[in-house]
Amino acid sequence: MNATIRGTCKQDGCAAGVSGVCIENLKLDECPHFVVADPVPEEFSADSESARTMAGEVVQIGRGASLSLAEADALLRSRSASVVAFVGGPSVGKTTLVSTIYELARRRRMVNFGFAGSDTIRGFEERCHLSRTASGRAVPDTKRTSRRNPLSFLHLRLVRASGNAISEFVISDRTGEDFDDVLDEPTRCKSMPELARANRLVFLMDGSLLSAVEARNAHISRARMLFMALLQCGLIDSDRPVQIVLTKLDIIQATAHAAATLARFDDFVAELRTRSGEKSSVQGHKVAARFSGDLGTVGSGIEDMMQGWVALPTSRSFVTRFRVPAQLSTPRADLMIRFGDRDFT
Amino acid sequence: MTTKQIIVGMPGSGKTTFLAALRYLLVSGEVQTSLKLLRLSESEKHLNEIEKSWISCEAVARTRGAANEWVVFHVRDSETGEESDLTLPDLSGEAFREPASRGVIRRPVYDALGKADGWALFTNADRGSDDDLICDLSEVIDFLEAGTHTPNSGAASVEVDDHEGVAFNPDEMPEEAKLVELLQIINRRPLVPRERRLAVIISAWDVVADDGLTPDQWFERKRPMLHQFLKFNRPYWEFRVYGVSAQGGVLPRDRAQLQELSNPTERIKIVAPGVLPHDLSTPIRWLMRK
Repeated sequence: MNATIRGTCKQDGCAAGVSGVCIENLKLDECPHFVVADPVPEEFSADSESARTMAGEVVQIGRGASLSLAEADALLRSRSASVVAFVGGPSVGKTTLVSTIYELARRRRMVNFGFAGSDTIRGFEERCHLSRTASGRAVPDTKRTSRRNPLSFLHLRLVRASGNAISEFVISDRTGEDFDDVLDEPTRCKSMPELARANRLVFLMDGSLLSAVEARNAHISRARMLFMALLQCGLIDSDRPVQIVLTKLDIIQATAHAAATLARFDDFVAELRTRSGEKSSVQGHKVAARFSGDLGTVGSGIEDMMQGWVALPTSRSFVTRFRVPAQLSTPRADLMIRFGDRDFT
Repeated sequence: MTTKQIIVGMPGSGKTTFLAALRYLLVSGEVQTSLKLLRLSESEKHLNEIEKSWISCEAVARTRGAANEWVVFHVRDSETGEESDLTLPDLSGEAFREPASRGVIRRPVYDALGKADGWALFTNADRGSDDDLICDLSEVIDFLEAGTHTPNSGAASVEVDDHEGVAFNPDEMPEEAKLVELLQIINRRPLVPRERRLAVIISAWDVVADDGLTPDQWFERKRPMLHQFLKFNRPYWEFRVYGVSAQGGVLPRDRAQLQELSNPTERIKIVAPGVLPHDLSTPIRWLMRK
């Protein structure tokens, strides 16, 4: 075990950062996917007197900023939760949308949902940071999900206002460049485990591109191709409703041709519904994560979108390269044991 | 019987000041209290130090870094006559910040949290907002600018000199996010989830007392994330809310006025249904009765 090297591995399914064991059986300092962590804070460093005093007195308790594939799988095995897979190209607004859901919940700005917890609070807070005044910015933004970041998941527990039932969601966060790659090689989406496992697909379209005359048709064409790839790979079926979500509604509303843009979107949703036949339910939604004076509130349309999330079946598990036991005594015992490719459905 | 309670809260949330005032309250016997002190404990050094500052109307020094003090009160419940040894670790706020920001927790703190039968969770009413949305601020600015609109200003856009922003620092996460994560940790494997009582102490209550809100209303409105989490995670967390001013005023502005009081206990203010005036032991007794 590489006990002295701290960091994280970018390879899906590898928990070398926790276990010290590389899934490729490489030394951590030789593995091209392993990213060495920042220096340990002085009081925890091996050379500090306080660290020597505290040797053996620090408990690792955090799940990190987000869940890895294996951690998400472990969560799904231990309790009921719905997987929501976000699909869309770069800068379409995936991370902004999921961050805004968290903001609305934690600030009690949704009528029908209340905040009951999250195993990835730090992950949400990091993604929300640039939209807050604490960032020092005058204009809200969202940190882009880099291609270097492996697939990760965010977790949210919400209470439904009607009946106080708890709903848990595991929401995927994948870089948009990966979906660009699907346009070139459609079968690539078969290797995206969150799509196969998802209880719901949220397919995002960029409102700013749709409202730009010079960019609209190209954006629609790419969205069509991506949808067709999902359809052909069997990732759209009766068990997996699809929401076609138009983002950046506030930008659209600020244009002179907003009505035409929205009508074009509605037509496209109808087209995708026709393409999917009876394989899946396809619904359209329009959202604005940022404030718009005309729309009146941050997160316009998001709660309507989420209404469809609460009645999702929770049945499947991930196809993972590691077996993750369901009931364990300590977090460290959640180490992954390599059994090769297994389908645990 | 020994009951273990724990006082938790971020740096500057008022934990140590509360302890200092509680100590004076129990020892002096100047006012009627829910808990009565039976005898002094083996070590009173830490309490002596913080109480000294409190009596002098000086800001009580925060417990910092690795300095953690464990205090014991030997008390009797005034109503039931039951005697208890009340253990209250006075831990640094930094110790409670680390779990959410760094994913680690010091073993003594972890053990104390896990073993505690009840929690007194502190949040300071006088701290500024730490999680404002830029969008919300823009709304306020737009509203104010609309009110000062002049015919010649037109719709000219204001040039915004924006920059990339300050990098995310997990240590600087909003207080509510850190507190909620702390509450989640203690019911997460390998620990076994169990029911606990939690007294929410809104410190520096005198700063907001004139806003016309009860502590319950203030907590629901000003700490929505924490309030929702506690509300929707019953029965694991049974909570009550108390508005507390352990200093009795703002220092150093009100020092002279506070020092003129013949009984220092009269500085203490606590607001909650059914609470005796100045009785800081009430929330502690409620925690002990679980």
